Amino acid sequence: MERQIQQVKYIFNTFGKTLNMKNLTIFFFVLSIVSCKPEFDKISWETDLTSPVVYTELNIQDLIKDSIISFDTTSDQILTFIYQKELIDVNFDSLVNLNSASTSKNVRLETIEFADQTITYGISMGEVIAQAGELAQFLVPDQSNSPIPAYSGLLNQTLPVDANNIFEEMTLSEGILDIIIENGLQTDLSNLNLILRNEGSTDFLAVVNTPLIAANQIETFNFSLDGKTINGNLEVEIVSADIVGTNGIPVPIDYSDALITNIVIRDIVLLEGLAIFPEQELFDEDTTIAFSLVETELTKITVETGGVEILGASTIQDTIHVEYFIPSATKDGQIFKLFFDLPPAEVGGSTSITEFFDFSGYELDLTGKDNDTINTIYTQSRGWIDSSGVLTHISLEDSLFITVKVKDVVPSSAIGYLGRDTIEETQSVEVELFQDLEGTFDLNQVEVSLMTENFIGANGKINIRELSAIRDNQSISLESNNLNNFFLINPGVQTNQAENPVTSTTSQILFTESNSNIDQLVELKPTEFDIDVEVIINPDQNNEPGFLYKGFGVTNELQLKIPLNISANNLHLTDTSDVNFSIPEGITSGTFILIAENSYPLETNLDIMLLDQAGLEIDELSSNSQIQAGEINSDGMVIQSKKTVINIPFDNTNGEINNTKKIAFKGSFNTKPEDQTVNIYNNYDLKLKLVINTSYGIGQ
Amino acid sequence: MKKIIFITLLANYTLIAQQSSIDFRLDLGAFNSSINTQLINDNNKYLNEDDKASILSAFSESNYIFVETDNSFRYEHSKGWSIGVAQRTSFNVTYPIDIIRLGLYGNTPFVGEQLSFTPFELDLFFYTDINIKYKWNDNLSTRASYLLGHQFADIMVNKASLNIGELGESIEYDLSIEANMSDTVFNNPFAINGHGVAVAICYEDKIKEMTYQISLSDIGFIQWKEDSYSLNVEDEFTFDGIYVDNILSFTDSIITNQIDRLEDKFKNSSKGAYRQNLPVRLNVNLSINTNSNVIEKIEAKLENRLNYYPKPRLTIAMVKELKKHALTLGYHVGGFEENGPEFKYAFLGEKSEFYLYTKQANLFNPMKSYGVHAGIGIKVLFSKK
Repeated sequence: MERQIQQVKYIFNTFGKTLNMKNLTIFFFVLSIVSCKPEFDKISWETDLTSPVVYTELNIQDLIKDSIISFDTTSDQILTFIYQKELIDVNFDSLVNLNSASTSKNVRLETIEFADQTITYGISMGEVIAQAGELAQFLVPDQSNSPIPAYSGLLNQTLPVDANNIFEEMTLSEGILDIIIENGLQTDLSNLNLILRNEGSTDFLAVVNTPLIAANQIETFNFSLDGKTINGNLEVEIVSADIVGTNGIPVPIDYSDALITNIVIRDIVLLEGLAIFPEQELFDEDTTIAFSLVETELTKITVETGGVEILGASTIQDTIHVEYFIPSATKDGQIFKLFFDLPPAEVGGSTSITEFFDFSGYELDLTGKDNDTINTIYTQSRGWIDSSGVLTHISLEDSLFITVKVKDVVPSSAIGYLGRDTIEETQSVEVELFQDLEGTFDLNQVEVSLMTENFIGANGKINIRELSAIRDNQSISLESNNLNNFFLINPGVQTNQAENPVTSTTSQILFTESNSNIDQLVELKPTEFDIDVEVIINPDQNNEPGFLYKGFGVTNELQLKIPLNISANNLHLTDTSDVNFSIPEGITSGTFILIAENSYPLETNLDIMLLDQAGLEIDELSSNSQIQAGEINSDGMVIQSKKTVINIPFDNTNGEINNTKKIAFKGSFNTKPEDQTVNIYNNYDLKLKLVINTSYGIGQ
Repeated sequence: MKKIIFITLLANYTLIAQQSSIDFRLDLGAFNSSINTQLINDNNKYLNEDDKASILSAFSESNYIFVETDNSFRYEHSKGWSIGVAQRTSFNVTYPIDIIRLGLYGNTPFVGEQLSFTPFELDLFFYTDINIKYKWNDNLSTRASYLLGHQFADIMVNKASLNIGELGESIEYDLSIEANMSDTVFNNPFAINGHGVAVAICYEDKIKEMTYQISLSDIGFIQWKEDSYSLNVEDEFTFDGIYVDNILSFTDSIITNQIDRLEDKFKNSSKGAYRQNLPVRLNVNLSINTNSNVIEKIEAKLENRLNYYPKPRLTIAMVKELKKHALTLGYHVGGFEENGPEFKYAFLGEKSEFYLYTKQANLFNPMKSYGVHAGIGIKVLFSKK
């Protein structure tokens, strides 16, 4: 170890000598040269970048992406422009309105169930001997065989009888009191006089007088309790009872032998009482709840929203349990049932509750218990009081009031005769189609259909009373023999499919240039249609069953069909689109190159403006840039598309591009050749590609 | 294998009388083929079109950047054996001029043309070499190394071209890339990601006044572990822009989504072991005593790293000895360095030696300065010579 330490010291010493000042100077000089590095942070330059950004192929179908616009083709492949606009939608709620329906019941206790009660008391042989004195105990010892001597007036006493564990007080309408005396002594008893009364009362409930009860015999005495009140604290007074004795004949003496009296209260009809009652049934009955509907005769509905409201009030000083069943209401195979408790009322007071039970999703059969009625819900209900287990006051004067209300029911479907109904609608309908269109155009073969779609399971009629086209202060009314005429609407057809339960039937009223002035209305480029229409459901009151599904009513739609055989002269279309750019900081200016390849016979002049969030102009990217029309032959068909390259310089010095939140396009269209009507075929398109060409600063 | 080598060395242990010593060396070099100090000094500013043209003219069709470090510590016993530990890094990237063209000018000047980004090749390895060297006799010595691989990257771009449409309406690229690299290269440089072995053999002799030495070293490989990334991209793609249904509702999030999609192609790497052969180093050194008082020795050196150096490196040098000091001034061609002078100073004390040298001594000629190199060595002897 010492040797290793010496070696380490040697190494450090040698390093120290080697790295003397001279050598270190050379070392650090070289190191400093090696360590020199130029400052590269001043280098910067511009690069020119070009890249395609986006491209698309547009046709008229793509340009006008709107659910209310579609295209069709004629047999010769000319595009037909179709614009659809819903004018009227008679919805479900306006045809079926289920007002709240309710039923109430006021229940009084008809009887108070109370079981027969038995109270037992007794006096043993031992107690009798003890009252006779010590000599008697000596002469007639327990467990001996001794003669019993005769005694008179020995059992003269008053004994308390406690029945408070059963009742505290009962007032009876009817009842019978049995006093059963079982002489278990070894001697006869004579001159037995016994009185039963409420404690401290002078009114007797029962008086027993009997001359003799033989040993080991039972005697029964009956008394009426009609109209009497019995307290839990009773007393029995033995006025007299003589022991006859055994005439010197020894008998087995057992001090546990006893004279036992059973007091039985039976056949009780209570007026009221403070007692421990058994379960009391308050009501058990069937009830119907009927919706009040005029003409409408529904047999079945499905509840979308709504429910059952329960209002209960009671003077009974015990909890009342109530259960309701609506067997005709089912959901997922389960019938509707509800259960609630009415809490006990205060003494002399009442208690009440209100509960709401959701009915959503239930299917209700409205044909009653025997399926022979309409608009009616059949219910079963039961109310009861459980055995209380504690002293409770119940009186035949107590009552229970319950109201069951089916409320706020909005059906999602209804089956049955829907009744006759007349709906009159006057609507001003906004038309977006021509709002951004300026200039003029001339249309050929325009036609407008008013399509009525009936999703209701009932027939009807429709009458278009008036239709007007409006733009600015101009208005043109439709003139046609098809106005003010009733057109039949056939009923819809049930499909029994959950998502599309109905297939509609369609009725069409067609307006063409031959039967109306409809072309004038369209060429006005209306921004609004005013329509006055009348729809009658079940006009013939045929009482035939039908159906209604929510969201499937009667609609009336305007359908504008224009075969694209047009001549456009400086037709202007403007549109604004939301955008969101984030051009990198190094890009301050450049050029967008728009490469367009057009096969439409439409020459387009394009203005593009950058707008901020508020719609204010930030910059104009392109002014009147022209996309050339496709080359057309003598038949009016485009035979060669035209390629146009448009340079669109932009400046992002102040973040103009990044601040752009909207781009406004203004297109001006002219059909080529001028003043010639051209067809728009379905294979025409406009290919657009946007290329960016910009300088990008590196290291700046 | 390591054990066998070690046992073999011990079994053949013979007494080769020499002095015990420790040797410590630091060696760092960074070179490139195209950018010299003058070019940097002239262009450390905003670059106009003339500057760009000047810079571009400095590059040839194929260019490279090379960085190498070799730091070692060795204990040499008087009996002829030695043990050492070294840490070596080598980074070599070869790139084409079209990358510079694209970087300087952007792609706009090349619309309607094709840019090619091959040859592009990148090699990186960083490892620790624990070795034992044995001198069998005065002529022959061998060295066996156990290598702890830390990081590597081996990227080969077989094909990479870019075509830009006449109006910039399309950009087409054609890519073929093979890449392998360790998974901790960016977060834990000293992690051990592989193991390897290498051997070296050296023969030296003297013919009259000429001493020659021939050696082959770094004959070996590193087996990088299973967690190494492996990526093969074969992709031909024409970018026409991004198709949108409605050009009027275009937002740049669509571009972001497209870039994400392209990035995903490069994220689809797999993992697996990778065997990387070390570039074998061949050295032939000649040293002739002149018996002159002016120049004591003339040295000639040939060095090549097979399939690695752009061309073998040849050096001619003169040695002037002044008592305990020796100065070497040479000129080299080939290798990664720019052709030019090199310099070495040695202090040869009785108990210690000190070396300072550079293989790129044209540091003060900005026109010829294409990199830096410096080496320093200290050797301590445990007894006097």
